Amino acid sequence: MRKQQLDDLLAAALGEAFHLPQGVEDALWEGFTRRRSEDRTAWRAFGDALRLSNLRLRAAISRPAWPAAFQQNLAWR
Amino acid sequence: MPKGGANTSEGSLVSYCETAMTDFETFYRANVRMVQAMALTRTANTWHAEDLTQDTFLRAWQHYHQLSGWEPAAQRAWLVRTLRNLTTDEWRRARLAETAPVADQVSDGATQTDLRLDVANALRGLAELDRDIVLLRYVEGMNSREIGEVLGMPEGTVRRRLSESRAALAGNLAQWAPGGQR
Repeated sequence: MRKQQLDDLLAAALGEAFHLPQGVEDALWEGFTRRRSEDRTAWRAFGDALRLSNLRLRAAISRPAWPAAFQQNLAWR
Repeated sequence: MPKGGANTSEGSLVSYCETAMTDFETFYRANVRMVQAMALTRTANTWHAEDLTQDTFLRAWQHYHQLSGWEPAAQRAWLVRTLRNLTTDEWRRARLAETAPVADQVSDGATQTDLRLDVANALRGLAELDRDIVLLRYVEGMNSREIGEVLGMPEGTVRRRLSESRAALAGNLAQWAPGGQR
């Protein structure tokens, strides 16, 4: 088999084998957001990166303007 | 990531967080196929591969304030390193050892299953590093320089290893060539 033939074969076979249809990608993303919402460590790290004190963060997330995900997942702080 | 200290307004923080979450989804979707493909070649079934993929991106989310400022190649290199580290975790190793082959989990058409089985078996014969090189080349369409950036190795080494992997894979996948005997 020539190199180009092999290249084409591998690209086709591997591309097909690891193809990620849009629906599967969407499902993976939804699965990830669920995992993330349940993982306090993930949100703590993200909140810490904002360099907010716990007191100020608590005050901030109690406001309606704050994204619901933050209200739900940072309320424990 | 903005410095959200005492002088940052709440409004700008809210705006930043919303932007960061949107940006992260873009980052996730741009890289999930690569991570999932690498996870599939390291694990024994699709469920564990998905678990490994999500763990990798969860780490990315935790470090996104750093990652978001990096070039795409550096971001991909970080994802690959993290995936490798998670795979070598002792607890995960023990779990993976108990599982069934990839093909057992595939439920779609017979031809597709056969293809995936042959690809999985062919890749399994390669060293882990060579599998990564092959996936980045043929699934992600990267050239040798880009692969070298992601895996942290010289371009010439990538070319040599890719050439050797091609030769090894040729026999195992020949039946899938146009006009091949299936």
